[in-house]
Amino acid sequence: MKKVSRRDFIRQGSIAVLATGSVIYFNPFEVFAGDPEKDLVWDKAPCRFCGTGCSVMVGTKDGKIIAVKGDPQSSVNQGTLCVKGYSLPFIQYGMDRLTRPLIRMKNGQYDKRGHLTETSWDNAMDLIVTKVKQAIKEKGPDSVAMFGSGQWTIWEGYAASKLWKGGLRSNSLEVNARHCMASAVAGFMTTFGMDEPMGTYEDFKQADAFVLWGANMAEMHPILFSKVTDRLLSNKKARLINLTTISNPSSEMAEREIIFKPQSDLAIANGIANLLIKKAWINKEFLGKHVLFKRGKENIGYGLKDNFKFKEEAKPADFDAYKEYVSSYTPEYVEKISGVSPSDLDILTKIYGAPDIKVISFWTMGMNQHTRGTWINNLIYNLHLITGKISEPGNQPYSLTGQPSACGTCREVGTFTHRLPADMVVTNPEHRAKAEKIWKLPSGTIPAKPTYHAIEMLRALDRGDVRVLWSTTANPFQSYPNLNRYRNGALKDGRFIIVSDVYPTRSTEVADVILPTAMWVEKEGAFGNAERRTHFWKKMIDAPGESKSDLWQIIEFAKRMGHGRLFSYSASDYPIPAGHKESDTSTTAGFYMEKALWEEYRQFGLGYGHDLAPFEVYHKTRGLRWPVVNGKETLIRYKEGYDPYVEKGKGFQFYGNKKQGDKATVWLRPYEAPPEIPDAEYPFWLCTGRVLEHWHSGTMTRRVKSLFKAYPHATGNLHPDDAKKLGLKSGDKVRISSRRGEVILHVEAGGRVTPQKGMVYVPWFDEDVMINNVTLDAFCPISKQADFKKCAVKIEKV
Amino acid sequence: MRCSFLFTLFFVLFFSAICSNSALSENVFQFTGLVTGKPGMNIYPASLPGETITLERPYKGAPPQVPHDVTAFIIKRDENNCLDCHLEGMEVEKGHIATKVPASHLLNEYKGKDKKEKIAGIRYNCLQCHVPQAEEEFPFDPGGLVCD
Ligand SMILES: Nc1nc2c(c(=O)[nH]1)N[C@H]1C(S)=C(S)[C@@H](COP(=O)(O)OP(=O)(O)OC[C@H]3O[C@@H](n4cnc5c(=O)[nH]c(N)nc54)[C@H](O)[C@@H]3O)O[C@H]1N2
Ligand SMILES: Nc1nc2c(c(=O)[nH]1)N[C@H]1C(S)=C(S)[C@@H](COP(=O)(O)OP(=O)(O)OC[C@H]3O[C@@H](n4cnc5c(=O)[nH]c(N)nc54)[C@H](O)[C@@H]3O)O[C@H]1N2
Ligand code: HEC
Ligand code: HEC
Ligand code: SF4
Ligand SMILES: [Mo]
Repeated sequence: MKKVSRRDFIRQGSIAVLATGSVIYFNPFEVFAGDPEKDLVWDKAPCRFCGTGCSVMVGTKDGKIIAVKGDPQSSVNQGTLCVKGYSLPFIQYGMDRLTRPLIRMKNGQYDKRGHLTETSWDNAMDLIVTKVKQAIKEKGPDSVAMFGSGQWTIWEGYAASKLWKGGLRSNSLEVNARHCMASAVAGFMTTFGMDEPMGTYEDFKQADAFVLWGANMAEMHPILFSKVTDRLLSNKKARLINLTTISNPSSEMAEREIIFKPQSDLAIANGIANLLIKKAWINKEFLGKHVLFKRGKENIGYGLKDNFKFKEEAKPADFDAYKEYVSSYTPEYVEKISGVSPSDLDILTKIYGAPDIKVISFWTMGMNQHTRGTWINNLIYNLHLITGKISEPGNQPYSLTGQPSACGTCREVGTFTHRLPADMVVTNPEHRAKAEKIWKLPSGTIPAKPTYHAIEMLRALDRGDVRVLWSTTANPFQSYPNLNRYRNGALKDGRFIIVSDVYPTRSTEVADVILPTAMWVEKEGAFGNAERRTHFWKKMIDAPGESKSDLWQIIEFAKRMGHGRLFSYSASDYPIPAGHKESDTSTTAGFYMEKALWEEYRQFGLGYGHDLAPFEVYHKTRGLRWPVVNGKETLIRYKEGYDPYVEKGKGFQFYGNKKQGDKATVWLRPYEAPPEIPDAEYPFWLCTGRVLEHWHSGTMTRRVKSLFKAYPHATGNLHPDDAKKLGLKSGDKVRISSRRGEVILHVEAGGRVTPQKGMVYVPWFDEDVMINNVTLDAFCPISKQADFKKCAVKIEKV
Repeated sequence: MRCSFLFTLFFVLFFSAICSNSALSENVFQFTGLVTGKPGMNIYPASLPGETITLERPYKGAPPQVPHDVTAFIIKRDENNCLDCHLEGMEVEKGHIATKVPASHLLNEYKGKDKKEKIAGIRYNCLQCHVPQAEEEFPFDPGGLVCD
């Protein structure tokens, strides 16, 4: 067969539009010879990658992004970015960018076994509406599900929530943030009655000690890690401890790297609490005024079976019961479970206990992707609460958020099956009434029962209870655990999968309809980062071909389903400003849709501790940290003098827990073992995670040359001793298999990350290494967040 | 013969472009993302500083990529090997000068009249921004299509 050189096509122009306009290639470096400062138009936007939320200056010319730089006006990143941020000019210019809707067809008709075929928006939308109506007729509205994202803009999530809960009358709305932040949310709600961190990045400048509890911050929140580094270098006394199950680059700046066995963080935290009490390093006054104790249900299961149900049964406890409870976590017992030595436990105890040490605890997926994720979040809060080291400059438990708007969109808008905006839930009649009022809907519209959390949603798809799944701004058929089951489910007859994406992915592979989507600065957007900062950006360039924003798609679908009134606002209230590069949604609507949605959404939080500022304010600032009251952002919540919601004379007030006298809860929670532990047949732990250079499933970052080449492939990293024992050397090809599936990849003995003995580490960005075929879909019964960090595997040379 | 999907894609487009002024429905795609069916290893050049030449920067203002091996270099709290060479712009071999870190990376400290340059804390972790490049063709580069 004749080899067709891609170069021949591309060389026709640096922006080659081939055939029907489907292929785009554009290299800013080749095209732009001018002076970036003078010849480019610069505007601000948040980075579309991690939850740090760096502010980026984007330089465009003739409708193309030419360059980016760190925004010097932003206190988040002070003019810097990480390597992914610096690669932003390339992510929209991959050669195979989706530019036209596609439907699987045979003989000109939709056919699940057909070929993906270009079509018009009209045809694609008609087919979607037909399939949705059919599903509703046959199985009810709950059988129509949307899987969204913490990479959604705030108004995209808001529109989806309003349409699903208030229009389709289905709570079958979930987001990838369930895999990411659900345990953090459940931790916040059970301890404080209110979601999201009390502190901000400003706290780093005051802290004396930082403890990482399973967060590889150096690679996953690089700029935050650099802010920590800055503190370490400028203050000789400041220290960093990296508690982790794998040796990783976050240890480079650390005084100690403490390796513990998977899941044993529960025992370590209780062990520290025990010693704190023994050494009388507790803050009795704070405890007396601001804390109460509870004991929850134990032996709570792992959600491995379909339709798993759990109900917490909390009983009141007191300090003496707590003291007694943690007393069994002696240093010897903790060492037995975790492998952490008594002397390391002492170091940690001193950091949390000594009154003159201000401490910040950080965690991300190590604690959230955990079958006891809610518990371990509670247990870290316990340490800060019993010592009173909380809600003070430099003293904070700091749950780090993964995605750029997991906070802003998923958590604050409440795009989970059970949630509504501003921490409200569908199960509460008052909350539903409030939402129905703001949405101008008859009372009783919003269904009171949550349907499917993320894992259950794809289980329902497999069973046939869910018939239509619309995935947007996510890649579930690469990112879900125990994927074999769910990919097969999607391919079953009678299942209809819609995927909105910007590139072909492992999810478009199983899709029936693919919708080409505008990304990042191709639309107007808003994200909310890991310090409660809401940050807006304007549309800067047009999306390629016929791509449309997610917001446009959701509203177009709503109109065709007869729910257009949910999104009709008046053009005189929300005129499109002159000189504004308006979005596709606003153009179609004839008014400023983003502003209309924002001003409506804002009403949910005003006066309820979630105050957001008027729309225009955010286009003028580098973001503001809510609650924004009288134009002022809030740096520390729950502390008098910082938080406008704290009444005078209270000192601290955990006002999320009004029903329990504004007190935070210290939970009595035990260590419980994970569901699958290495045995004779599957002798290794598998831990999965990420690398600095790639974002999640790699769809964007692997299409950027410098990032692809920086880390082309996922390898299986082993401890050098284990490699030797298995007779393996770096580069050898192996099969890693579990009871559920297998992958073939190459091993690396040591390397950038080196797991503890008895463990293999595999990042999940590589489409050629579908490690989620191997992982286990067990989850935390309270948060329903899956544990991607632990299962049992065997490793064989092939 | 196994081709990456892009080859298929281009092939289809090629023929639809030359054979017809194709009706929409004739453009058929079999999308499989970046799948090549070949998991790989990450192999970086072993050349030491002074044995390499600098790489083309992706755009003006982008951080340059690291052309040399970095595996042996330590970045710790009290030791940063990169700075050993790059802080002042050391000449490692004749004609091989470690590019001096730009002013954006530095803080100036004054002791009396003497100015001393110091790396800004937020720039200390060089490898978050400057990354080495593996010895492997980029499958998406024009002309770089892998097909065997
Ligand atoms: N470069 C890059 N950055 C990213 C992302 C990306 O894709 N690429 N994604 C973003 C997103 S959405 C997220 S959620 C974050 C994730 O950020 P991280 O959670 O920091 O990263 P991971 O690689 O998922 O997890 C690795 C960590 O899990 C810990 N761990 C494993 N098992 C256990 C355990 O049993 N207990 C505890 N306590 N810890 C354990 C390990 O110690 C290790 O530090 O990164 C964000 N930032
Ligand atoms: N094994 C393993 N699996 C994991 C994890 C793990 O640690 N280990 N971590 C879990 C966690 S924490 C997370 S957050 C999830 C993330 O999982 P996903 O969100 O499913 O993965 P992403 O790759 O981020 O998918 C985002 C998709 O959106 C596309 N996209 C980009 N911009 C836009 C846009 O503007 N509109 C639309 N429609 N699409 C766009 C991208 O091309 C990409 O395909 O993965 C989870 N899965
Ligand atoms: C022994 C001296 C030495 C050390 C140590 C060293 N470098 Fe270099 N570096 C050089 C030299 C010399 C060059 C120029 C290329 C050459 O001659 O190999 C260079 C080139 C570079 C470049 C490309 C600069 C440009 O203008 O494009 C970067 C980026 C870089 N090094 C980063 C690093 C980082 C990051 C580290 C530490 C992890 C490091 N270097 C450690 C000597 C060194
Ligand atoms: C937060 C991101 C970031 C960090 C951290 C960082 N750099 Fe840079 N570096 C850049 C960017 C962006 C440029 C190009 C623009 C500029 O000159 O500021 C650059 C430029 C350079 C250059 C080329 C200078 C020139 O004259 O062209 C060298 C050499 C360099 N950096 C070395 C280092 C070393 C060594 C470290 C660690 C001590 C480091 N950088 C840390 C972002 C970073
Ligand atoms: S640290 Fe996160 S937000 Fe900042 S540039 Fe890197 S990926 Fe983007
Ligand atoms: Mo995440």
